[in-house]
Amino acid sequence: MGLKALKNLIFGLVALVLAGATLPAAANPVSTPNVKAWLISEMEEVPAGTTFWVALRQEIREGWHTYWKNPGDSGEPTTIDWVLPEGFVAGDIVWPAPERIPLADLVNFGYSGDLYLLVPIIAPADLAPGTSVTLTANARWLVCKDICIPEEATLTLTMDVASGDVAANKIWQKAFSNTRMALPIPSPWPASFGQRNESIALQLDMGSIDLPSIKSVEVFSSQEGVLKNAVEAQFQKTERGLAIQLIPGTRADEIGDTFDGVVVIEEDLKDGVVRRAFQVEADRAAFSDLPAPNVLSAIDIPIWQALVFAFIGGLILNLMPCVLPVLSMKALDIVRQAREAPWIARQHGLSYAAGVLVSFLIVGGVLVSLRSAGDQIGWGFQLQSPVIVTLLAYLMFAVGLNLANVFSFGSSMMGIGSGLARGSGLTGSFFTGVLATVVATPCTAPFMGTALGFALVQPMAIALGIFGALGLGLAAPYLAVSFSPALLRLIPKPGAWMERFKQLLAFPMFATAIWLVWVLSAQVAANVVILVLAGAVLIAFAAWVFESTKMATGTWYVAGRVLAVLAVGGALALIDWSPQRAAATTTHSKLPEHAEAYSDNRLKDLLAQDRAVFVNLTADWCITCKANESVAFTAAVHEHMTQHDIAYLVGDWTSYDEEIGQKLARFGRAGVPLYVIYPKPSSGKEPYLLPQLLTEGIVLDAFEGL
Amino acid sequence: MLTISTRSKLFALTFCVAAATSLLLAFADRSTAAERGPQIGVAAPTFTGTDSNGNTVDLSAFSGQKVILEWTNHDCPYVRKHYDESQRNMQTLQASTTGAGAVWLSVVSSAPGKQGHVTAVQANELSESRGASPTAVILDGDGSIGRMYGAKTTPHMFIIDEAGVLQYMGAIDSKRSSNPGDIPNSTNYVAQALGELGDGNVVSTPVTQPYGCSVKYSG
Repeated sequence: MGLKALKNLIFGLVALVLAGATLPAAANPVSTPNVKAWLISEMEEVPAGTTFWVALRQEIREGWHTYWKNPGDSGEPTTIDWVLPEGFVAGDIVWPAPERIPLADLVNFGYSGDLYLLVPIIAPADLAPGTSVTLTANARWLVCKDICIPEEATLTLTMDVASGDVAANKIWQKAFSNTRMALPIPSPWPASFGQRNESIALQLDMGSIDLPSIKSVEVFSSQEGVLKNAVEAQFQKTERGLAIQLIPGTRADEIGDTFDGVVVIEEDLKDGVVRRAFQVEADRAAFSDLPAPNVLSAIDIPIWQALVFAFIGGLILNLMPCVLPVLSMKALDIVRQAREAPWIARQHGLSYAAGVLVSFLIVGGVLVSLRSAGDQIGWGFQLQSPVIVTLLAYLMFAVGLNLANVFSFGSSMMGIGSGLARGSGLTGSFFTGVLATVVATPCTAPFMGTALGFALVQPMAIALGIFGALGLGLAAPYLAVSFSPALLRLIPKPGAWMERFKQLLAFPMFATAIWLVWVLSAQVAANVVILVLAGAVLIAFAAWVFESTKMATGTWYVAGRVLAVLAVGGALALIDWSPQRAAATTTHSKLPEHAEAYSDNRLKDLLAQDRAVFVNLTADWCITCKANESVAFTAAVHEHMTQHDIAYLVGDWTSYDEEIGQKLARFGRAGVPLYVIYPKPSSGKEPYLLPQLLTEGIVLDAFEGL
Repeated sequence: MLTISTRSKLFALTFCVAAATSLLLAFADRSTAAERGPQIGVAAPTFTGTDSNGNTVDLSAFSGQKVILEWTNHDCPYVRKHYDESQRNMQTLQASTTGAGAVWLSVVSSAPGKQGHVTAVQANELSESRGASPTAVILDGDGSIGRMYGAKTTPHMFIIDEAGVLQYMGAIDSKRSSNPGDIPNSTNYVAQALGELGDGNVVSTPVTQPYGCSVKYSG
């Protein structure tokens, strides 16, 4: 290197230093212990009579953060008090989209790293070119890691007033444009929101565009306290676009007619994850007008498969102990009728099937619309209401009494033939179908779980198709028998055995009634259960009076009917009709010693301790669950869990429980049972589901996968 | 018989109507589904805790008295603001409320090893040195009481009335800052609510956004 070159270099360096020293940012930047702050301008000089942009830049110490305008559960947003020359006006800070900052149980919203808070400044028109102005920002912020420190800085920026065109500041121009590109943009889609109880549904009407790449959705409310910040938004792609579910916070009542906030959508694209922020102003809408904000993750099965599963599930439903007696009776009727006139048997088979189908469609319709209204309910939800459990117990008992010949409808003189000739039996068959559906509701047959879980997150038409397939499955054996002479021949000839068999079937019905009372005893206080048992006595009395006076005439006949109605009315009056959900706190089923009650938090805790967890979501009214628990959860299984340090969490859905409802939805299930094994997080393995019908072997094999 | 005739239609219909009615009833109360944490106008969650003198403190024992819960962390700048000697904001409020027969419970939910965690001795020394006069300082190192109340910040204030019903939750006052100089120009929500309750009125601002440092929970 020659002498001249060296001289040039030194000269250049000196010039650079001098230039730096003469930058108008003499009191700028200011370093506090945790933040280095600048006040910068996008323009080299002040353009008179127009708006130009300045920014408070914060270079935040690693691991620390400052806050958004809604700081979340704690914290304080950064503020700027301006001291400006005459005629200058500063606008509000234009906030970039924040990040979620979790801190133990709390979540704050803010920024880390290098932050530019843009502020528009309006310069007056009557500035003399060549003079200079000084902008002073008294900036205050709270900077936190695990502890919080309030800091402040007085930043000054002196700029010349431009005489002509203004050039952009070469140093900061890029930072300004980058920041601007990342700012939330007004949402291009219409947005609406609805609020109901423990749920806020936010809907972005993006249309039916395919959005398979959406990885995460975050919602930041501009208003503080209206959302439960610690709960992440759950989202689902629907026909209308994006349905987001949020949990209201302590001040949710203060949301007005619009929900104002920022929605950040992360998309997984080929060239990496793209994070885009949208400013959303959602108008209030009726909650029920918004698509169901349920999370669909586990189920991604084709529709035909769901239909097949539903059909098989319906078939298996026939074997459930509560359904079998009713259906056996139906079968016997069909046999009898078919011997007399096959075409009549076919009519009965069809009207029975119609009864089943119509009731399944009604139940399905009710279920899907309640779901879309935001209720976390599933198959078997009826049994979460003590009133319905009681009514079902009464019904089972009454059917049992009927089967046991304590009472019967119609005159005993009325021959089967005459009934058939009048054709009135067809409505009877229809209602037998309805009855079969009603008694089938407590049972979730294997295969039904997946199909129903799928159905509940589908549009109404598809959901109803699946419920229809379920009904067809339930009705199929009887349709087959009534249509196929070959099958009919397999059933023994009608005779006296049919009467005996019918009476025998009363016992499963009584057993079912007892089981329902047991379910009830888990939901209500003991005295309520006793009242229900007293109601059963009244029903038995009504049946007896009804039967005894059936053949009587005149006063006795009337008195008998009146007494029977009074007794049934009395039984109904003994029910506690007050609309109270079963107290969720009652613990009933004895848990094994090492089991704990399920909660999302407990699960998180255990996983945080790097423990494997077995989750069993069950209910007393779920026969499949109870069967599994007695057959598959043997001493060996429990011993395996204690020996291998597998935590056992039992969620009881006997009574309504929103958390468990959501958990089921997350796994794409509409009802219990649900068995999930969470391997140790350190193993890197994904949680996996067990089938709905278990054996000891299946469970132990599943543990091997840990 | 299940070859049912016309009468059985009545039976089936009656049942369907009953089932439908009870379904409606059952869903009418879905609105009461719980767990948004404590709610204004509803009985405040009860708890028992241990105070800095080793005594057991049972919230339900204070029935008939107003109870003020104050979440605190002596090293938090926002707490320091309200205990600052220049204003003695918290101390004054403690003295006037306990003097009027109310119970003031300061709760420390900072986990061991985290900012604001205190031993019983330190807690008493702090009350001494700051001239604080709470009825008791409850040591809630495992955060169970804090989580029960959804306490988010220090300070975070709750007022429970004589009947055990929650009447106020939120900030100590209206100016979110750590500067004691802002205190004279702010509305003290706790004092305001206590005044309104004392006059037999309903609390005009029962829920506000608490501000301050996050409660330093374990985990």
